Amino acid sequence: MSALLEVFDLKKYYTLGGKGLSDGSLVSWIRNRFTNAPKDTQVLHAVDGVNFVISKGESLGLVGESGCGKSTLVGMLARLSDSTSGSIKFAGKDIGSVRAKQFHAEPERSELQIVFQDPHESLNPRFTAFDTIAEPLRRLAGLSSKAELRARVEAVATQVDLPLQLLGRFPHQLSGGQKARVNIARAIALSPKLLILDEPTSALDVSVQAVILKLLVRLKQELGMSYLFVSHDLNVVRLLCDRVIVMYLGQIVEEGPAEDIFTKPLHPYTRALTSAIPGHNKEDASAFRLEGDPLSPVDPNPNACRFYGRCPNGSELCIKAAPPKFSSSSDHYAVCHFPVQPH
Amino acid sequence: MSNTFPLLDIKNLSVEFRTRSGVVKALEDVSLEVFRGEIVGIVGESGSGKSVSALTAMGILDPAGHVTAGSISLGGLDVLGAGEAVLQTMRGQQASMIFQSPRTSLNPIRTVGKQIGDVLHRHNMADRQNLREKVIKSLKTVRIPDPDRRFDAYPFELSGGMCQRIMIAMALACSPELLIADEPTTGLDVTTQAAIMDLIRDLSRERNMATVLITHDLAMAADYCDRIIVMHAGHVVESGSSHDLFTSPRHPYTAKLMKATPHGGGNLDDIASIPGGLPDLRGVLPPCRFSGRCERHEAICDSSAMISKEVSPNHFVNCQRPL
Ligand SMILES: Nc1ncnc2c1ncn2[C@@H]1O[C@H](COP(=O)(O)OP(=O)(O)OP(=O)(O)O)[C@@H](O)[C@H]1O
Ligand SMILES: Nc1ncnc2c1ncn2[C@@H]1O[C@H](COP(=O)(O)OP(=O)(O)OP(=O)(O)O)[C@@H](O)[C@H]1O
Ligand code: SF4
Ligand SMILES: [Mg+2]
Ligand SMILES: [Mg+2]
Repeated sequence: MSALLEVFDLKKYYTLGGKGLSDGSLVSWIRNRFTNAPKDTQVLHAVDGVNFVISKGESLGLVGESGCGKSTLVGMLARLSDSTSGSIKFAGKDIGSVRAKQFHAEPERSELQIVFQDPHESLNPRFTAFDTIAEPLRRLAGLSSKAELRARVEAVATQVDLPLQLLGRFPHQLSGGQKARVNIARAIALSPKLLILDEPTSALDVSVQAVILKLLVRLKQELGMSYLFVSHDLNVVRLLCDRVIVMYLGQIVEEGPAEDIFTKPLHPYTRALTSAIPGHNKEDASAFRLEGDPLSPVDPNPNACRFYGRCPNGSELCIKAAPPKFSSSSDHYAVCHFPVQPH
Repeated sequence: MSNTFPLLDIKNLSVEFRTRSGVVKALEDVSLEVFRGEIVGIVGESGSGKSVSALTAMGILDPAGHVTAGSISLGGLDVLGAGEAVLQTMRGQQASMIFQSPRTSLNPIRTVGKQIGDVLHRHNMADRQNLREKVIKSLKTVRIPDPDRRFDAYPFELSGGMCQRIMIAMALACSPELLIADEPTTGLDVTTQAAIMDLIRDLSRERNMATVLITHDLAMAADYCDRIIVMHAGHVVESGSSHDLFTSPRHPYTAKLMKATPHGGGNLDDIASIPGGLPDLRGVLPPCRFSGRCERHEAICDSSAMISKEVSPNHFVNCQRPL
């Protein structure tokens, strides 16, 4: 399989200080450096040196604690925000160096689409379903003839099983599942190569979720897309993804095939995560409940493991040296001094 | 405190919304009891009336909503008959609610520390000197990393899950006797979810707090609730202990909900969606509001009024042909 998206040492820092927040850009760096900002400027490491690859046709799951940097990471990949450093290559081209504000002019814009967290909040209330789906076609594909546009919108609506008579409706006249379909239709209208889904089903009922998940699997087969799937619902990730990466406080702590992550986790955090899935073996669950407070993402110690303090395996070494990469096979690794022993 | 009568007692509640396009029969004959120290779950699809039940119990129903039948008693207070001043005191001191959609419930231009401080201040839980300290303590209980610095953060600087935790901290700050948590952990990862649910469970045990947990995560309800009521289209269709409900669901809707929930290690083909959607609550409705989606539907379901059957001790089903 060839690589579609390659992410190398990607970082996003937010500067916290008396001058308020900044986004880590050069301008704000200069402002902080040369104005009377207090000396003790602090830096929040939202995403801190992330490396991974998504192959063509693959679906990769992204999981981790709330606040660990998933949306920040996804925002940089979709070129909605600029990174502090690092590179993002899409189909061989360096898109990370294109400013987020300029990205709409790049041909890759239409090949990389994102579906946001909440279908109820992410649709424009003044747009009908038709307008929502047509908007990227007008803007990015230059479809201007009315007939052409209508034909394409209807084709996409059919692909996501959205009844055509609903195309004239506004969001408040649609159910949650219908809104989710409109959202997905908008994202696939331009036949992207990569679809990023930031918690696409968390706002949906289980009854609707089942339908949307099956739809996503079918679309992937039909259109040959790759997925980056962000979710807190680990059972859903397990169903949908080939591989999974696990983040903790801005860094990837484990990556591997989905089944291995769930059945043979290496990192103590991953084990805590998988054993906290509701409805799982309860003895197991309480045994790996995390104690203690998470470390701060502000100015973290580079020579320590960020999970230290909550980690049941942690020892002195973990706060003296940054943990190394430990591989249990060619496609499964964790970053830890004392990975979980397979039994 | 004696535990012989429920802290929250909702009896045969019916609520309608009068809208321009007709009268929405949002709740019909809903009953719910919650004792001190107990966690009762309300599960059901979107639009089934979970939030409306909770809001009515707190005395904050939308002005378009009208209670057409029933009674609500909260620690002996007649909620439906009480005046606004009494209700406000009740909401401050006795009952607290965690609302759905935390981002929109927080003030975007006030730091989160100040917002929690406001709550503590309003309830005389802290004075100027120890306010900051108390706020930081409550940020800690909901596991916000680096609470000292987060005190001065604005909501937009926090992730969705962290805003959620701020809301929870605000609700728990004044030690309520009754906590109504409407989807408290949606959007949180499972370890944080477990930590927060453990906290809520500990509080209900230690402080003898009564808790209503509204969720559409059945597995979570099973893990944390003593009892569960299942709602569909404004009706309670089944209620019982978590154990009874999960080991032997008797209402066809409850069984379908379980089939639709992904389990670990399963296959996508194992999960089945529920056919159809909720009926339009504005029209004339059949005695069983699930009948249009139900595979077991027969003539008897349409002919007689629905009655609640006790299929085993304290396990009730509203269905003519239970499983
Ligand atoms: N504009 C900002 N200014 C300062 N800090 C920010 C800003 N946006 C995000 N952060 C911080 O960056 C970190 C990562 O946030 P992010 O939203 O990416 O988390 P997430 O993994 O998507 O969480 P969730 O699962 O809750 O959605 C958090 O510590 C957050 O407080
Ligand atoms: N202010 C209102 N005006 C008109 N109808 C309303 C109003 N509030 C709620 N309803 C209706 O009452 C019914 C029950 O709504 P409720 O918010 O209680 O559902 P819910 O079970 O909480 O759903 P969700 O899981 O989506 O939060 C729905 O049909 C809804 O459309
Ligand atoms: S490096 Fe140490 S503290 Fe970090 S996860 Fe591994 S054992 Fe735990
Ligand atoms: Mg997020
Ligand atoms: Mg609700």
